[in-house]
Amino acid sequence: MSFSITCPYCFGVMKDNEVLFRSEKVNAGECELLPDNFLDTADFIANYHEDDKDEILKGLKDWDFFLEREDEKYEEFWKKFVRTTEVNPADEKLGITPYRRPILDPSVSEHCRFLKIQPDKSFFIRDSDGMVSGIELKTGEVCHRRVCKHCHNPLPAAYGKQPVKFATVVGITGAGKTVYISQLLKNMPDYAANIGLTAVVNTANSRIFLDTNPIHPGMPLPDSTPEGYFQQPVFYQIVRETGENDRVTEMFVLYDVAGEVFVNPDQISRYAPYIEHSDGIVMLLDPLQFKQIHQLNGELQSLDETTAVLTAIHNIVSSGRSEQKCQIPIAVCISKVDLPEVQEVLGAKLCGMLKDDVYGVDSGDGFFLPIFNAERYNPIAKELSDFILHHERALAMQLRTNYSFYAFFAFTALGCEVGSGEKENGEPFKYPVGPILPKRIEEPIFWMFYRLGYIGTNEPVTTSAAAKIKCPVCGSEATSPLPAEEQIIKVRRFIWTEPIYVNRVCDNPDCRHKWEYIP
Amino acid sequence: MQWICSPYEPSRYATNLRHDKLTNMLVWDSAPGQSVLIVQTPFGQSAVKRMTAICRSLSGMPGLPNQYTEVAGDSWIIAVSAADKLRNKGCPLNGCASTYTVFSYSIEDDVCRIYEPEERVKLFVQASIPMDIRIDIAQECRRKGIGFWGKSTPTGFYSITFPKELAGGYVDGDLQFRVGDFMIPVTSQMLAQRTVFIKSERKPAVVSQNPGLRIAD
Repeated sequence: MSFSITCPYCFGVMKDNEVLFRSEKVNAGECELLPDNFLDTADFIANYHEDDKDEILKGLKDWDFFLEREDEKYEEFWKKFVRTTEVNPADEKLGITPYRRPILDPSVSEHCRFLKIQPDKSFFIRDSDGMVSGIELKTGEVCHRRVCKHCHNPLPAAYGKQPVKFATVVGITGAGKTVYISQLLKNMPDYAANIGLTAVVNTANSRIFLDTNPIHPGMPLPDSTPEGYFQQPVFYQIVRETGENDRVTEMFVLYDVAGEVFVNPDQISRYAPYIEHSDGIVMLLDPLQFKQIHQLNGELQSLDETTAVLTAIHNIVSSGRSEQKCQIPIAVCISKVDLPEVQEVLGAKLCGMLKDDVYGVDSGDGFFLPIFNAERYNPIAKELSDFILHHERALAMQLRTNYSFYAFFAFTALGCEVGSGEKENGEPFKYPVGPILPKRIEEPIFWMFYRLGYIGTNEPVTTSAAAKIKCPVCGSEATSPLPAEEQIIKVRRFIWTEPIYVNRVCDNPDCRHKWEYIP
Repeated sequence: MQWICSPYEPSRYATNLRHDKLTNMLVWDSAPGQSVLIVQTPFGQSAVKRMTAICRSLSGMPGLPNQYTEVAGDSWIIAVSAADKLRNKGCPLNGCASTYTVFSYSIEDDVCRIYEPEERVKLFVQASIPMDIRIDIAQECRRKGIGFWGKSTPTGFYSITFPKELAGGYVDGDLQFRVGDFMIPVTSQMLAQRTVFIKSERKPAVVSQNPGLRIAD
């Protein structure tokens, strides 16, 4: 039995027995085998002429194999993004750079001499489900750090065992993507429980993300991602019941991508894969981008870039086929709705609804049903849709024209004032004053779960997307309006013909039915 | 007991007051274990500005009430402990067409401190809950004639039927009849009667002077 793994970095595909491993054994300093009066291996080779030279040399080469070294494939991948953003606090304490640990490839014979053969006669250690999870060195170290065979980026534990869904959080710099993801990850187990799901956020990657991007009152907020960098993806698992005794686990990968990269021709090709492979997109709009709000605030930003980003995303996904709408669900979210100027513009009614938590649908036995609470969401969606339609019509039209599945959301990831301070070195920083009370940050994710079919809904979800007009004969959604000159057709009725008005035609070549569509 | 208005205390926050329409309860976010005071004022009027007056009117009270109690003329207050909030999943309303505000408080050594909300979030600590009411206005007619030849003719009176739920907390003049150029205030006695009759050639209209009372079509 083998598992097919898609790398979350390069999207290369491999089997679980094709992954490579980073060695747990890392040598440092000088090899003890090297005689004292020699500087290094080269000196030894040049000047040592005893009988045991070959034996010592072999030992030295084995020692050198386990030295830290540059990983060409890894560096080649990260060169596109200035440099790597991988961190590993445990390795930092050991004084080891995680991505400089030697790579072990069980398919290379030269590497196999270091590996211990397992009971199944292979070099692989398999977990209880049969997936390759590690290898063991002859010196006893068990190596569980799997890496992609294409780009040598780390694969989280158990990654590849379950189906994987990719979601990208896009927004201009400063929209709050990192804060959003941090808050979402921290509270995901509670949020998931509210829709009858179980979230597991204990991957090392997620823990490192939360440790390096802490959100606490008084502590500096995470810095904006420097231009050109690529943040490490974060992983979490969602477990849902599919029957009385059955459950399904899915892995979710979240990417944090600055929207500006999609309007920069130099960068778009590097980040395009994270849109192409997305199963959902969360687009954050900084409220200061809305004209009415920045007029009150005084800071000028623009939604022009957002509409350009949406166009770029559409172009990436449709591969230039402009007549097709993007089928990836996109959650368009207004962040920071707790700002006083945002409250003033959105109005008391909408703000009152946004103050509320996202409630699950009670099953009656104390647990919540796997249902998106559209009953509570729809009034908010309607207000947001009206707001955007009246105040940012270009954005509304852009979405309606290019996207089949989109919905509006609004939330605050902090729910409190952000203060400004100065570090000891004079560097300014921002910090949440507290108390930190995020509101409705999980709602776009729940909507995506609904769109992906993980959960149902208690009533039809309000959508601003153009309704799909299906052919009444064959049911095809591929239909088109008829030009004016073709809207009167003659239909035979016994011995005479009757003109009939039609305005829609089915694009299915086997159907081509024409009818009058009344909205 | 002494009642003092105290400045904002971050460790005792109480904010995000809202009305849960499904449970018809007030819910809010507060610091763990924090007791709060819910203040009900006329629709649109902020309790934050009235706190000093409310504290003054509380002097002489031995403790905070756990039922809605009228203070300072047109304000009502209720104290809700953290345990009550958890048990009841919030605090019940004391009628609509009002603004509710949440304050945290603490009692120590016979001194009750009521904490002002943070300046920035003064909008978050209150929830204005309008009342939607439906008032039926019908022309009174009587039948003249017999059988098939009879017809219904107007009597010159209109009946106006008020909803039952309007009676509690109503202030005279919040609603008014408009008959031609005349504005006639609706009184509590009229509401208690439920149905009143007006002689008028034109159909009267009912107009709300209280933004917390919304007349449904």
